[in-house]
Amino acid sequence: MAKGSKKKEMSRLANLTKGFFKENPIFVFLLGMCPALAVTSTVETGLGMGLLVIIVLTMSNTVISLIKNFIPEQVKIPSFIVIIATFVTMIEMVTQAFAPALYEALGIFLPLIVVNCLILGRAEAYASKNGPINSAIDGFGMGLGFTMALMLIGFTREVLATGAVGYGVYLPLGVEGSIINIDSYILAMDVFVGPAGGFIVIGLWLALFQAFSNRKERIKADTRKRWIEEKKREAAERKRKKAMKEAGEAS
Amino acid sequence: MSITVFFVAIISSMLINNVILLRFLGICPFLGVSKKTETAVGMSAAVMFVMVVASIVTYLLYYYVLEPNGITYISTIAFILIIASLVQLVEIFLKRVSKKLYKSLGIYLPLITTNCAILGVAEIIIANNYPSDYGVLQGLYVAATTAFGTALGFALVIFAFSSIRERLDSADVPEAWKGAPISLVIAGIMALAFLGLGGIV
Amino acid sequence: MWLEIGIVAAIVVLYIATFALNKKTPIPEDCLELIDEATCGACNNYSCSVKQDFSTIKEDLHEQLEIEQLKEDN
Repeated sequence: MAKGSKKKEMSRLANLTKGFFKENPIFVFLLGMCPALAVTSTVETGLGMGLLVIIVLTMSNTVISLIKNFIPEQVKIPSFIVIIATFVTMIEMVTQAFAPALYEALGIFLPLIVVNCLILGRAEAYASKNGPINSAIDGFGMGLGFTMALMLIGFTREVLATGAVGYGVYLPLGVEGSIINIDSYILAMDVFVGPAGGFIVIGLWLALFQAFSNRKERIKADTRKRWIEEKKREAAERKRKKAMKEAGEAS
Repeated sequence: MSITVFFVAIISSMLINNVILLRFLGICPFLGVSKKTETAVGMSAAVMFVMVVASIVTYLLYYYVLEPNGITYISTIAFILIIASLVQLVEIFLKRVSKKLYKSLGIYLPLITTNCAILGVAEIIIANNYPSDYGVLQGLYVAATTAFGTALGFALVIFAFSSIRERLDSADVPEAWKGAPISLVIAGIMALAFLGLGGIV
Repeated sequence: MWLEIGIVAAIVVLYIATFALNKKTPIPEDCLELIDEATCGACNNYSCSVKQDFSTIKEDLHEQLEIEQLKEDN
């Protein structure tokens, strides 16, 4: 076992939590933006879509990782699409049966999970190269990160638009109600429920994320530059000393 | 069938329910569109071609094969596979027939296989249920016109946005906003403009 | 029940056939560079699961070369 392989093996916990901040699908990779804009007008629809994506992603990652040795190289992408489409059809029917309000609210974005760049991207990048347990953890973690991002955006949009966060309306929780009821909410801006607000809210959150990751990148780049400059100074010092010694010996 | 039906279909799918800004389909190529307008035009042409043909084929498959047999639940799998096969066929055709065309729009074809817009438009056309208003065959014409109008709307927004991107390069954007965030906010402002067209039809 | 499986299987075979045919037809020569640029430019392409800017990769390589040179000098 070469030294390089140890670096690649991440602990299971790191594999699970990398989807939250370091490799968040929406904020870092910018995958899966179509549902992120469309289903986040309320927190509940965002949560529902996120749960469905977690299920599809975990199952498809596991299955693809299990049969990756039996698929010839040529038909890799077609087979991924077929597997993911099968799972999405099953999820569609389950949702229609158990949560019809969510099914109506998600509309055409439920079958569009098939072409969600996140699922196909993870299948291509991770599941086709790693074992089933790691792939399942990776799928679950990425799905959790996706759900967290969706809920963040949905929370912002719903609170700004209506001043309350409803629950039980779309998901079959049994009880209906709303939390964080800001009475006499005079700042209700309906624009955030609509498409324009969606774009602007996601742009703001993305800028926030990029600001933080930029800071880390900048600090890393600064330390590296300083290290390089110091090494250059040391090398110049040594050359000078060598030249002086030689000049001293010559004379 | 009067000509106004087609006219209304094009206007409504191009401007009033614009596919990118108001229906949120095709965001990925929209964010990734380059600053050069030539690539934007190439991408839009590829999308237009595939969208119209895919809508026609999926419409026919749905109303002549799937619905009479009551097996509409496999429409998701069937549609995505048909769209993917169509893209492969178009790519083979372009490679063999015209190298120049392949250079300008063939290289974007693999990107639109997993484009939400194509599958989304197919699903929207099915959801609009044209045969109940016009009958199956006439509904096919309306469906094709809707797809064409949608592709025109896609082309319009992407072309406008690539021009804005060119100007954005020389603007002084803060470090945290560079790239996707500022593009999204600009898209939001464009969406506000398009919202004003609602209710015309 | 068999009708659905039959239809899906037929379409799957159609897709695999067109995909294989497409892989066989060669790409015109001067398009390869453009394809790489187009592929990694739009974020919805799954072969670029981590979207990277080519310019930052070049900078990283330059820095690494500098570090190697400094190590050799010492």
